[in-house]
Amino acid sequence: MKKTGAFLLGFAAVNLLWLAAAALLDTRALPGPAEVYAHFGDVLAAGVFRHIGASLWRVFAGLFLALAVGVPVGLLMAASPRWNALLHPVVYFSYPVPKTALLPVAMLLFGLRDGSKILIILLTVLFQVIVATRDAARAVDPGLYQVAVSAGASRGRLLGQITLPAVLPELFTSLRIGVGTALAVLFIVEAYGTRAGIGYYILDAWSRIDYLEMYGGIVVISVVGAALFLAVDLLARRLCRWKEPS
Amino acid sequence: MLEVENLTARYPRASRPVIDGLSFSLGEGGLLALLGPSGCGKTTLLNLLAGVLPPTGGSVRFCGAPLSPRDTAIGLIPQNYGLLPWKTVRENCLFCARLRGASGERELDALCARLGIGGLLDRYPRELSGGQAQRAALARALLMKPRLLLMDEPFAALDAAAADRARRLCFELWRDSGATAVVVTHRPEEALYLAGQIAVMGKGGRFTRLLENPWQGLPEPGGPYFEAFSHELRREILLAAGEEAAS
Repeated sequence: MKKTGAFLLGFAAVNLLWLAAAALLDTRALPGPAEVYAHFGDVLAAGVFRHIGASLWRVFAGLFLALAVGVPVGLLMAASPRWNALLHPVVYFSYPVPKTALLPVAMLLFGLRDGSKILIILLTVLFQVIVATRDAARAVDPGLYQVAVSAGASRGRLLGQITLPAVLPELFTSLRIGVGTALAVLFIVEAYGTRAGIGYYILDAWSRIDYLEMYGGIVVISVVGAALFLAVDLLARRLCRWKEPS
Repeated sequence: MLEVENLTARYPRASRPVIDGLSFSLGEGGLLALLGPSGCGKTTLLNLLAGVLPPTGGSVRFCGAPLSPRDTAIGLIPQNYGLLPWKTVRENCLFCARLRGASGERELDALCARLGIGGLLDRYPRELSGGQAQRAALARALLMKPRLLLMDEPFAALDAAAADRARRLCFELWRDSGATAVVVTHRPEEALYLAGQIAVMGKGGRFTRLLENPWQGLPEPGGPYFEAFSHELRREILLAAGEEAAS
């Protein structure tokens, strides 16, 4: 209840700021929230759910692949100094590269459809997943492993019962950051080769100078983002119950 | 019988071995206390015995066969107890028992009741006090019916009164379990109460003294002979610490 209140308060604060900025600038390029919300029926009528569905598919596919590749690589780097020495410079040089700059290569390799879009989302999220997993796995108390090893635990048990649960909280943190970054990247990757996606919807409205519809799309992407954050929070709270203060 | 022969351990890039050609034996069901200054290799020796650290040289045999965690039930209690934060006390206790193929469910309630943590089985480690966590770690180790019980300063984080109570309980449970045990401690009074054999470790992870302790299990023996023995033990630890500082 307290959290819902804080959430609604945050939503109201953003709208107030928006209202103040719109009043201050007094330009058609920034309509006020009331105007945008009044126009929201058109956004729904334009099939916004189809756009949300297309965007969510790309985001989920990118995040899933980033986890599928990033977690094993991070664990490998944590477990093996040799692999860490080899991959550490690769990760650190690649991490700051703006992944959207690789769009031409992604398009060349995977075409203009979803493949290149998902690849860019994957690359954007991948490195933070690798670094978070490696650091969390390295920080596991050696005493936890010692007890299990001396009791005869196999490598599989150590991985499943100790390493993976131990890295889970950090993984959720990087997933939260990843969701935000992936949604921001949508705006660029949905600018080509598609007529579906919330990024496409915003850009299309912008190109038609339909600012009301454009801001309607921005509201939608922010609500979708908030819903995804909440879903990740909920999942984290459920799977990392042991972290929660009683 | 636990037989350690010419055991050596060296960490990578270390100038000298932490454990250097150490040999000793401990009868089945016996308890050895390891005393010595910080950094002399007590925990390393415990980890070698637990099979979590491979030795550079030498051998550890238990009941005539090379000691391996796969073949021998080894209950280890590390310094910070090693309770998995994401498992409740119950799950922590059953985790090690199940690794040994035992269900442990039946014995768990009785053992935890005896340890005074019967009402805490569904709590997570962060919800336990230091004493409760220590007893949970002891329950976990005993539930797997260990043949070798290894404890690294199990009472160090407890206040004097709680440590005294925990020591007595631990002694009783160890005696009932029939396990061979090695305890690392900083406190001579702990060693004098718990152990039948007391070893003082000094420079290079060698024993500077290995003594038979006739006062095992006696809370406050007193008397001139005990005082002399106790004094000699403290002097030996101080000498080992001085040797360490001088090296």
